[in-house]
Amino acid sequence: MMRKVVRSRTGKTLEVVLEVEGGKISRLTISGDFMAFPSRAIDELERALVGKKAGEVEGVVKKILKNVELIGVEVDEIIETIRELASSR
Amino acid sequence: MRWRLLRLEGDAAFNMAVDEALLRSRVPTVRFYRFRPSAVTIGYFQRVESSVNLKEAERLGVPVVRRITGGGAVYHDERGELTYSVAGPLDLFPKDVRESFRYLCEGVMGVVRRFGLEPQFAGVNDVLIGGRKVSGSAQTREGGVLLQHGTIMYATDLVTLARLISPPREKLSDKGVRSVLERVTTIGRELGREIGYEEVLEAALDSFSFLGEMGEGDLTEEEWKHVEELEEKYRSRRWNFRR
Repeated sequence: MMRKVVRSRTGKTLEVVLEVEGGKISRLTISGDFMAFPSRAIDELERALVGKKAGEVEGVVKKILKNVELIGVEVDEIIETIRELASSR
Repeated sequence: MRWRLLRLEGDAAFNMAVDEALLRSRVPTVRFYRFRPSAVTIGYFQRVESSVNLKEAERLGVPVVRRITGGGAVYHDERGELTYSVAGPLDLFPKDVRESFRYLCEGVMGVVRRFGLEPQFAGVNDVLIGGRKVSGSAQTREGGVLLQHGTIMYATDLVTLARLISPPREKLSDKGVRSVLERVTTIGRELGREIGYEEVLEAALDSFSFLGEMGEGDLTEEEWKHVEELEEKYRSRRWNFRR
């Protein structure tokens, strides 16, 4: 299990906990003190990223968060943090 | 617009169940309440382990409950904090999320002003006095309904707050406690006198009337049914520790 905590440019915290099996994300939690409208988009994103490789992260995140308003975290910070953990071994 | 005024209060699970029931209902509602006993609520997306000092919470018998709204961890001191919630159909509020925060935080700013203090609005959802945070708010929108709730600290025990809420990677130390005392304050501390709940409630009733006329009410039968169901969720480990 890998974990990374980053301080967003907006001042809030983003924490990602992730497991990789066979090059693919097998478990993922995105957490922090940010807000998302609608909230369920983040739950949906967690589910959608399971089974994906590091190279697919950007596409999936951009697609699911397309019309989602985030306060306290930026889309590129979510992508970077997940991609970094998913590609490390 | 006539707003239903609720003063229902209870423990953390009950309080959060009532707020979520308001989100499922379409009755424009303003609610003021306390957490009895004192509790910590964490944001929808937070991990309990990363945001709360669980050992300290257990030692003090302070329940930890996950909110349906995002944002950070809040210590709700039974003897020092008033919580407000506002819920209603989306068309009653500015469409833009940030603007709606600003709009509803006017109620909080008005409370501070009624004590002769000068509030500052900061970031998206905070109210400060002299640069120190006295109130934070969180919001969610679902099915065409908006729910915003927030805290107004008037006599919160800030040392306990500092011990219970752990900013990431900051250990429980004197330094941590001191830095909280520098960043957070209460209306009572700023005024230099003791303030009681009734005094703050009175100010809040007056201040939030900028929304429109308010009339005391109760939950409908259907809402009470929702509260019962939802209380179970807010008492479950499955929900509170889901992240």
